[in-house]
Amino acid sequence: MIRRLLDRKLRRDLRSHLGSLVAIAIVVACGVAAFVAERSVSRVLSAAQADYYVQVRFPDLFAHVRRAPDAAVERLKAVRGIARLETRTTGEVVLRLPGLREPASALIVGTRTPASATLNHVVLSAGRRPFDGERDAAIVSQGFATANAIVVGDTLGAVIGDRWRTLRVVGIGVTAEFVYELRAGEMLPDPRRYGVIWLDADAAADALGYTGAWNDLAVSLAPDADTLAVIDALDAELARFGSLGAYGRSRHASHLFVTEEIRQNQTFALVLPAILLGVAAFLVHLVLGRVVTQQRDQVGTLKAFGFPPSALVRHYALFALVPVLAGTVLGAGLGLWLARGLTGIYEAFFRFPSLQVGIYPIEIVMAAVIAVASGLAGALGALRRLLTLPAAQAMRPEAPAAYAHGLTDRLLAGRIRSPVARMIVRGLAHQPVRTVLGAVGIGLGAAVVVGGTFGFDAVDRMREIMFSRSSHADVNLVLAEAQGIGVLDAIAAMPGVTRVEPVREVAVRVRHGHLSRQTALTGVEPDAQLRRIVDLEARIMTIADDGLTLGASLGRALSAGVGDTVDIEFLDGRARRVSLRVAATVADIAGLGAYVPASRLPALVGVGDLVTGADLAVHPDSVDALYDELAHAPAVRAVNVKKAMRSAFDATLRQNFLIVLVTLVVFASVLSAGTVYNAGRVTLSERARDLASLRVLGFTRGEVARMLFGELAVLAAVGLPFGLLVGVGFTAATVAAFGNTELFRLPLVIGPRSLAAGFLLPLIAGIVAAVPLKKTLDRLDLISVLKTRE
Amino acid sequence: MSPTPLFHARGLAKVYRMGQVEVPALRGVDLDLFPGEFVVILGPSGSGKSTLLNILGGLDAPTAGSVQFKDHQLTEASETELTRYRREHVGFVFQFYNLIPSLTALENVSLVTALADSTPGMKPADPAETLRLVGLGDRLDNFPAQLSGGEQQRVAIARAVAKRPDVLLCDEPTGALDVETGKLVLAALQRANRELGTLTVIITHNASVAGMADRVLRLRNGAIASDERNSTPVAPDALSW
Repeated sequence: MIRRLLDRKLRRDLRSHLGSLVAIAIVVACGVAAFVAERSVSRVLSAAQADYYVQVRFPDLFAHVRRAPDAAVERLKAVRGIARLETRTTGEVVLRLPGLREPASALIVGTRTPASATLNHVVLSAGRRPFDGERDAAIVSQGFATANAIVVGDTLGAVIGDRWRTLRVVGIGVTAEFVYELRAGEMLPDPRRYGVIWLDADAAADALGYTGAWNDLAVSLAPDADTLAVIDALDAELARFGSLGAYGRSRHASHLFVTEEIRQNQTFALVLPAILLGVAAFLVHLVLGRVVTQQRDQVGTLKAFGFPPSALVRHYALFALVPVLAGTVLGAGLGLWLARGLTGIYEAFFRFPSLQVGIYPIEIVMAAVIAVASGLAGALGALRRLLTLPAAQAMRPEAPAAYAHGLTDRLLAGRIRSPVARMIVRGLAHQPVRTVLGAVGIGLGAAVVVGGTFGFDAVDRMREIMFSRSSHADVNLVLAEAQGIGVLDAIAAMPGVTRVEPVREVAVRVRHGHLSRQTALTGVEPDAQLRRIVDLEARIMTIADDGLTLGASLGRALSAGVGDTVDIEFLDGRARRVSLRVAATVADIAGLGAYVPASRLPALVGVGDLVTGADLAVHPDSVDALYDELAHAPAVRAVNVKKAMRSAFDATLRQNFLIVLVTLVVFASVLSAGTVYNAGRVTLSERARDLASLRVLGFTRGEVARMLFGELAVLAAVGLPFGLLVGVGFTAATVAAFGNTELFRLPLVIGPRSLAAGFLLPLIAGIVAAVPLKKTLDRLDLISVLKTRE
Repeated sequence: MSPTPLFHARGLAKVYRMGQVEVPALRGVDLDLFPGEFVVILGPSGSGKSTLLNILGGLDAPTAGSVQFKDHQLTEASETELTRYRREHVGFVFQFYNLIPSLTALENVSLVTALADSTPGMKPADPAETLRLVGLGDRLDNFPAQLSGGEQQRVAIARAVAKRPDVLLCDEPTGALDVETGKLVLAALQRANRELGTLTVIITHNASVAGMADRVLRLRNGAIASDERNSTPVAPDALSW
């Protein structure tokens, strides 16, 4: 009976505070959605990765050599700790695709019919595998096939090895090695212009000129293997074949990208919900606190009638929990939807056999538990007050707010002339905790915008660096083999070429103490116009005239700085080593850069002046003829067209980050609007009598509105800059945690666009949320204030 | 020839609609109020005195009839015009004082004088001077929570008269106060009326207050039951209830 009565009161209380409770529910929903979505996505990715690795027998170790004979395999297999070892041949080729103006590239990879013990299986989504020994039958990677509308039965033409071949597409597939199908040295996958083509292992070896030999190695380890010892043993064996060094999964590009992404999702699954549910707790605290104050007389009456305190606590706790639970249900649905959207993005980037997001009840339960805990934490203060309120005191109206000339008053309000401004300042100073939390709540909207969208600024900066500052070449060529400087004349004679500059990149292992990395040593032309070294600030950098200039990532990886001496081992099978003093470092953006002046390179390498590629400026009218010629040139391993890369970069980002942007905009708006609405509602409820009195005294609606919204404006004026700072800090932390990989470095850029969005978006959301408050204010009952006492 | 009335009300009627039921609060009140008068309106609960005060104050509109203030028709005025009317011409004193808790006594008064200062044609009094008039010259910097009920009500009176309104409307100004404090408040009202010449209208159910009035109106069932002039108003000290 008691419960039924109270429940009826609860329903009415809920209805009369609908706006505030809906605001709480929406904030909770966003927090729960962020939690469920990010956790579901990291689960999907982790599970997909783990299952996939088992399914296709993803190797533990990898190595690439220039060329090794089949006969070398037996010695390698004898290395302790190796469970299985497989060799194959890979090579990058230039393709001409119908409908694609510029040449595309593909990595040719030899594959065998999978048996239970073989590594790196290709999972087919259509067609079949090449038969053993079948020539010119190809499996094309799923992403590449989809992007270029390649289907089983199509043919592809390419120069493979030394001659033009026509490949028949017999299957479409994916493999764990190329979940992230990223071309070495690039930032984003471009499935239109880069893919993987699997050929029968022997056919691939023959076509690429490796009959009886191989250049790529995959190893699975025995359960008790000492990974580092195996790597050392392999390196020792492989050095004479021009090994680039064996490495584990932790340096496998595709594995690394997927793993980093999972880690990021796990981090954001903590940060975003913490922010949103923290604000939700604050809003519960505000609203429930006000309701208990307003209903003091009711609480006193109920206590006087003998209602047990537990019934009252339950009643008011339910008042707080109903919006929290409603928000949880809404958020769970929203989270699943969002998880599906995010998974869709990952499908575009990560090639798993299937990436199906499921419903994970445990995540939803966890989200609900956290949401309810946040709600109760917010309700705690009000509920405690409820218990300690003696019945008699509860029935007396609350004493008028006791203002006094405190320190803050002398410092702040005392210096202000306008009584209205004094009211505002004193109102805020009177409840400092609430004021601070209110400002924080509004400001967190700005923090989410800045912290969440910094990626766009970073990407813009990278785009600027990559396509405007560092590269002025229209076309970049990679040669299949290093050649004498004379090759530049041949290239210059190609159609439309207006300028040629050599590229000199030599595979090396750089060693400093016990630390080492394999990378390319680049010979830098001092007067190069088509390619420059650019730092994270997009400044053009020069390298030291003498000695070695290290990129920031390599310097950190080796823990080497200016003045240190590092050993450089050339990975072309000659085991030549030189020692170089680090003369300078540059904050370059991608990879493990190591630079020397081009004039010094021949003496270091010891084989004369060789070029490994070329940068070209091309007359736009002649590009088609040039592309045709390049695609048929066996000496050319890859053709990179800047314009195409740039448009692929833009398209990928535009398509896929929209959902992220929309989500963040929604979260930020909800944070700021929810705080403004509830802080405003509570302030309005507390000040209604004052404001109505002033209306009776002849203050206009506008003047009274300024008093109410003045407080909110001060909260916003303090909160938004604070939020921007938090956003900047959050961005710096994100960059520190995720932006310093050996593959790429994220610049810490927060552009005016992000700051403006961070400021304006929560502001606009707050103003929109204030509209219903203005309506309530306009409808203030002037007559009742003459008679009521609060 | 009688002086021009400040308020000229004819046939005032007000019906409150409560769901299906119609409750008449005023039934045809004719009333003229003159500058400088000290008027006490007496009546039991539900007699319509508050409704009358609200209509005179521009807070409520009659269902029928008309009220003219000087040459303004209040009954045809818009919400904006009524706000302007209250701002320029009316001072209110509420039963529960309704001071702004975050402003000191002086600031509560200044809030209204600042408003008047910005209104063309108004010449408000000095806030501190006005507080001295109601006997609070030494409490200027106290916040409402630091003042007794009677002191708060006197601040409210100072706030109401400081802008030099044409009419002071007081709704049970002593309703929440004990006798002695109530007398102090009434004395402050009387002094403001005498010194500033403001038409002062007090509604109360306390018949004793009638002794200090120039004119006493009694309301019953929404109509004026009597309208008497008091030729010998007494000082509030002499009242007893």
